[in-house]
Amino acid sequence: MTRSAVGAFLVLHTAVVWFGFALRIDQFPLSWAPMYSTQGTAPQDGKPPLEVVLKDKPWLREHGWEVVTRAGRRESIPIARVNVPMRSMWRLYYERTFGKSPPKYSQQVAGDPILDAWVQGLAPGLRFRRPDFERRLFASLNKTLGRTPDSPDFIVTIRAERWRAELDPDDFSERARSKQTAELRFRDEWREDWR
Amino acid sequence: MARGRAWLAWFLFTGSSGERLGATRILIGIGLLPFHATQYGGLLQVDLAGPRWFYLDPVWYFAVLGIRAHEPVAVLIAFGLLLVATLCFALGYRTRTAAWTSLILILFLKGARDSMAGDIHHRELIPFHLLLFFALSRCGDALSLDARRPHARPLAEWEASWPIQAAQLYIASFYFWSGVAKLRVAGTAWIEGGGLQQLLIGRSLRFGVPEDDTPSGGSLALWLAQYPDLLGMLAGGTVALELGFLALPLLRPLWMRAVFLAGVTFFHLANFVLLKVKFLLLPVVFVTYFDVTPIGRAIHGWVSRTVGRRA
Repeated sequence: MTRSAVGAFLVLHTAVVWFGFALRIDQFPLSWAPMYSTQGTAPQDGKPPLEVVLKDKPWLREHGWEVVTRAGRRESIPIARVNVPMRSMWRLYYERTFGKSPPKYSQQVAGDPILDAWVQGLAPGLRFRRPDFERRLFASLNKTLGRTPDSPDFIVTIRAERWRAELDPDDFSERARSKQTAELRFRDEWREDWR
Repeated sequence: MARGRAWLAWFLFTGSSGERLGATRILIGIGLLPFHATQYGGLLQVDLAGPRWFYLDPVWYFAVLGIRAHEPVAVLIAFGLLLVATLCFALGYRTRTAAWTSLILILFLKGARDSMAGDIHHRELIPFHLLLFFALSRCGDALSLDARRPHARPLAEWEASWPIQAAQLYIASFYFWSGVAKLRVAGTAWIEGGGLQQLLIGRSLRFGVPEDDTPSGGSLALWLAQYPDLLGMLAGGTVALELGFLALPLLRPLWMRAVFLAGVTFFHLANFVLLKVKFLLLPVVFVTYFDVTPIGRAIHGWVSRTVGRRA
């Protein structure tokens, strides 16, 4: 490349990556590098969260989701049946099944009013899209297992459970545990995902 | 305007030699080997002959290309090829091909990992853009196996300088964006509202409360979480460090750069120990801020002697 071509490339590259930052685009290889920015927005009262979702690897290996098929049969879907790494399984089971989206879908500006107003004026940002992860989970599980909507072994209900530890506010020791259950049901309009 | 252009030309096109560019390439390549292993090694924890997971939320380029399901064998091959390409890049063997191959394989492996559950990870951003600069440059024409072939001309100063300066600028921008993002999303609440404390508690207890007092990253994180004032200072320091990064490419005194980057490296180390955040090996890219010619020359000399003996 000639020197002027390099100069033009660098101007273009800088413009594109800063454009991505200004508009809060988080699609590789552009990013506004939000990383852990969403942390800190949860405790409105200044107190730390006193509950933690516990992750149970043996449970995911041995049991995983409990599903019900169209024929009414119950079965377990442990990690081996979907063949994903453990970290992905955590996110699928403990987050997506319980309605928690990836951070990239929850990075709206929620900061101080002055900063908000300044940033909104400077770059309004893109509208955040929010995929329907409940619907996608049915598509992923059924298609991975090769099941079509009309077959009797098609999964119509997905069930997951997790434990939450309640912590002592003084030393964060565990005070109590409670079980939470998520139950997702397939809707007929989602059949179009198989067309 | 003319003064601005002159300053920009001075900043981007002066200051480095061909040997410095080659040495920087060698060290980045060596550093990227374990970096890639830590980023994508987890993808190999699946059964090669097992089911193909239908991606929950494919990355945009997978959606465009119609890649919908995980292919464990393709991932294994891509992972192996990436390590080979990175080694070739470090050695300067078919350097440009190795750099472009690495870029494509990073896109593929990152896409495979992030599409499974929909999370976007940001750890590859800096290596990816650095590799892009180096792929477009003549970094393989100095301190490399490629340089043993007859070449028309040595590297001019501007050719050797721009990839390094562009890399410095991108790294600084990345950290700056990260600092602004925290203020943009959470405002000062990120510093005052216990954001760091929330992270420490959540990460240290995600597998349950420890039943013994064995020291570990998790127990250290939990201990640290009990000092909110200290955490507020650390969080404030983190944001200040990130925002201040933009000035780093302009700092010329070596000691200032060294102290600043040692601080950032410690930050990544602490993040790894306390929070298991896998930015641990990213500081390898900080070699772009220093003249690492003597180290690169020594490594290249050793490689040349070894290859020469075998030949």
